[in-house]
Amino acid sequence: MSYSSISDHHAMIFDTLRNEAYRKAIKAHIKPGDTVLDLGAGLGILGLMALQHGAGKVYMVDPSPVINIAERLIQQNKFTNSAVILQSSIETCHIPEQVDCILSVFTGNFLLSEDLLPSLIYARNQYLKPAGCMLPDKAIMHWAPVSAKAFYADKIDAWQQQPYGIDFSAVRPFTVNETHQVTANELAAEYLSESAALNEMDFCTAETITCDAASTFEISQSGTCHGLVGWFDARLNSCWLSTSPQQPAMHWSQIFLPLTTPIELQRGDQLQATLNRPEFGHWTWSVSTQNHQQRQSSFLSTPVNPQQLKKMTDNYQPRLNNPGNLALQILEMLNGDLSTSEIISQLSRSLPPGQQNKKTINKMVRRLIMEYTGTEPP
Amino acid sequence: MSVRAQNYQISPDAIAQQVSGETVIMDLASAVYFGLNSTGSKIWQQLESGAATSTILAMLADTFEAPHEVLATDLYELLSELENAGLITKSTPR
Ligand SMILES: C[S@@+](CC[C@H](N)C(=O)[O-])C[C@H]1O[C@@H](n2cnc3c(N)ncnc32)[C@H](O)[C@@H]1O
Repeated sequence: MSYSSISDHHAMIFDTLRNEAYRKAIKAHIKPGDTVLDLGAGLGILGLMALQHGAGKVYMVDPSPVINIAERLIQQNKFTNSAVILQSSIETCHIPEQVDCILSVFTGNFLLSEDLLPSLIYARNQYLKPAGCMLPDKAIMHWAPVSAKAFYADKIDAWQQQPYGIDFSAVRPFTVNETHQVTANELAAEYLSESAALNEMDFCTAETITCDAASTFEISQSGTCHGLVGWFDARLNSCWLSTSPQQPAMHWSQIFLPLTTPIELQRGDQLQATLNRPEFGHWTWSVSTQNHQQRQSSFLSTPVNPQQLKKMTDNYQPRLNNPGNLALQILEMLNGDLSTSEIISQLSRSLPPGQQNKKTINKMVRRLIMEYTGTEPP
Repeated sequence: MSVRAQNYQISPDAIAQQVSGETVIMDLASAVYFGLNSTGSKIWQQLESGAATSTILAMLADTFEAPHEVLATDLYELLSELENAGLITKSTPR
């Protein structure tokens, strides 16, 4: 999700179940006068709650432009305690002091989606006082094998049909390796066993955010296993918030991990399953029974272009292409002496005729100015 | 046992994807990617089917006009590169 429009934030602001839990935790754990970091503040809801409950100073950090609306909310709600709004990612901003508490909602679907948690670890290492508190401070993932006949028919097997007389079956191997974001209602799953917990994570001490786990499920209900469904619980210090499909819904979804070939399971069978995900990497899941084994990976859900791949490998020796050379030339002109229009017109004149696309130059100049100029952090 | 008799098997941590005749391999353990050109891809397919090194070499000899020694050197080079990357492991010759 890009989080750049109000509609991206609507579901979170009006997720009363989530927000009431955060509010209780903020009330219980933020002491009057505390300095708080609202990490990935969005519209600033958690920081505003902290101000409401007596925080002395709140830093609200978010690269999304919606953070600027938080400023208005602070004025509108007449908070007199101090708030600092920083439109930036946490990795590129500078906060001039250590904080007593870090508030965040960096737990994605099935905990690791979106890869926001590494930024929480960064923020903790950089800015949290030694005895500071984190909300949330812990999380744990859960998963369970399920039968989800209708969903599987609709999202996976539908590609085997031939709509409009066109054979789409080559799509199926890709979508069966996708992680599918679903709500409990959409999946309408039958659980074939108790769920298993995996990957308990303590945000106060974790250094990497990975998953490399295995579970054994004792099948308690016979049926066709179409895949596994995953979710997480997060701890707000004294209370747990569960995104389980069996709990009242919040704005998070569950993740369905399909199997390429559904398997028939009988009550009493054992199903072994593994789940692997490196930081910023792909989800890979496998299941095996006594006589059957299969593995899926989101790596196989999008074809990697060999040209792109070369750039991903460690032994690639990168060399600037034409747009790269243009960017370099522009960056050298951002020295404080030239206005945007002067830069654009100087460049348009200096470039060889073939490369003088004014629109391209204009776009790139403005993008680089946005990204790489401005006042240095204090 | 001579190096040449050495057979290999694909590591359980390797996941491969074919794109327009080339192969991209992801190593689950390190999250590092590895690319193979079309010849490398054919070798990988042979490894996937459990082929012995001598069988792979014979396949290369059928495909390319180059002298046997050259093909063998190229093959062993690729195999040791894949092994160093943790994508294949030595297996005992059958
Ligand atoms: C799940 S939303 C939470 C928004 C808000 N805290 C709420 O509860 O409604 C996560 C927010 O983190 C922001 N974000 C993503 N990466 C970030 C980073 N590296 N540093 C700071 N904020 C980040 C996103 O722009 C997004 O607004």
